[in-house]
Amino acid sequence: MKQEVIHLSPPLKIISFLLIAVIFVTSASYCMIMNLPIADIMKNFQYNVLVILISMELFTNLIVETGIMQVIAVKLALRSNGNKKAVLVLFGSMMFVISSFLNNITAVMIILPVIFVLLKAVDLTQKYVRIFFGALLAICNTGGASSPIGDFPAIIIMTSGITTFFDYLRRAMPIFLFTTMAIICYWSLKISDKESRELQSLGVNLLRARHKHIKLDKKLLYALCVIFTIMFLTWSFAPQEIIPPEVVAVLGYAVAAAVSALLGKKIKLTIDFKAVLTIASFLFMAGVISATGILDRMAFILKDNISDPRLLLITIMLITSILSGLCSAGPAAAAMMPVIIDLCQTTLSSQSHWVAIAYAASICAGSSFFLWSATAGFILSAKIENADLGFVWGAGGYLKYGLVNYVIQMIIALYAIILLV
Amino acid sequence: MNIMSTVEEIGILETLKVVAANNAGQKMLATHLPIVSKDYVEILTLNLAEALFNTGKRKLLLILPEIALLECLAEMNWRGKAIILLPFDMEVESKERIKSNIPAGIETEIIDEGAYPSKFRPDNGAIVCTGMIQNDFFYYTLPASSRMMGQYRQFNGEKLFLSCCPKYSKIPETGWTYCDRECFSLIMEDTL
Repeated sequence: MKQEVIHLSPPLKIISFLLIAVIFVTSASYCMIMNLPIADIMKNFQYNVLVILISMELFTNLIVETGIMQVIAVKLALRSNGNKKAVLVLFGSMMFVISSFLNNITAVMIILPVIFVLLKAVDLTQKYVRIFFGALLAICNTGGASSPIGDFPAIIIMTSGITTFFDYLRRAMPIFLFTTMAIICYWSLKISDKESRELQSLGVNLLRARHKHIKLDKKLLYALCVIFTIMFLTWSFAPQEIIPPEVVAVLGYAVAAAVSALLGKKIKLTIDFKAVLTIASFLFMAGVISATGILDRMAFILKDNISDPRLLLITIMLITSILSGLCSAGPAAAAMMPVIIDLCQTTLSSQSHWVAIAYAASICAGSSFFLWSATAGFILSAKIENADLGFVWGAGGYLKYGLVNYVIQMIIALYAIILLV
Repeated sequence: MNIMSTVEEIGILETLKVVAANNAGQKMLATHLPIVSKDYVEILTLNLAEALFNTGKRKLLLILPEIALLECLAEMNWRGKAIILLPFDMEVESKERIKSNIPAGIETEIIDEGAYPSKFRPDNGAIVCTGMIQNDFFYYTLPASSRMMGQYRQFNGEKLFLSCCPKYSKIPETGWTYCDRECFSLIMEDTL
């Protein structure tokens, strides 16, 4: 499949690059004014986060080449038989699974064309478009948070050393799976499906005709599955000090690319470099903020004023989620990380694995609040605009749905933390 | 339901086959597609594929990706090459879907509007356009197909028009456009 190009509107494109430049320049200028050595800050720069992100995006490209994503998407569309609730349940579940282990942006771009064909065939309403894509965006975030390699905040947590791959996975997966089910159930109840069964069936049959000869490269798919399983087991059981996760990601990708090349596939080394630059800028900014000592003081103030560890954690969760909603997940994850590490080393040292989950859950909830809080939000919005569905899906239209997504996720996360910590 | 974009992606015959199997759908889409039975479309597709096979041409430049015709030709073990022409203004996703939806067992090449297929000559190739005929005189096809047919009219070989609905049936009002009959050298219509 051809690498897809996202056509963001010009102001959006300018803003995103401007943001990267402003973060880098402001942070560097601040360092020079305050006489903070940039070389020292760069010693603690989390290159491993970028390495894992890039490797996993490239690995996702190889998986996409097998055709499996389209095949599954078409099968789900046929299984739904055009029923709007079933479309939400099936595609929501698929999005959760993909976002858990692969790059969710690439997954969204591969699955969306099939979803659009299906949606164009059923009787769409503005409300359904908002519910469906609002839920899908929230599920992208819960999926990304459910595993340590799913999304940038989860990777940053895993590489920080406060938890391990397996400890994170076995706690996060059930909580985020439950959250996803709650989101799907809630939004399913809000969907009315009054279209005639015959017309739904026609829409699905036309979709089948458009995809009936799709080919699946089984040989490559099996090989990639075996490689990914080995990577997963290494992440889970090999000590991070001996085999760091980024090394596993790079080695896994290298082997997968070699196997793909041996099987005659063209290797596409295309990645979304803007996303890498954005995350690099967030990490740099977080390093600078950390070097100023502001975050240590903030952690100290919080610990000084809130003696109950559980209440302290809940306060941090609320602050993180609001920060994540307003400034997006990247900066929030990078900026609050030193506070979390401090807590895990002091007040909540015996509960550090659960602190990691609480932190991930609050970032995840905040990311679902506004359209701009998660990268997938802008991509979905741009794709829907280009898809000619007859409806727009912008920040204003999403707000109400984002608030509900945020509340659902926060309630579950807080309840789980109160119960388990 | 944007049925015309489906026609652009899978051709008239395949679309008719799916729609004909659904009564409610056929009624709803009556302004876009002719009303025909599923059996009629299946037999017509077979007849048209046989007629194409019997032309003896090794290269067929299809103005619309008629998936149903390609399936039949593949089953007949046609050893030629089907060249599918895609309109310049077609969505990228649609083009990708067409590329991945080619039946197995048939050699194909996909080219964009304006390009000329290599080694495509009057002695070995023919241009194929599908559509509908009204009163033996008016030829209708998709707007993009009509435009592309005009672009390739200088080709000196056979230019075939395949009629996809019964003679003298009512031409749907929406989504179709008139096509210059001077473009074509041979008409293939149903003899059912």
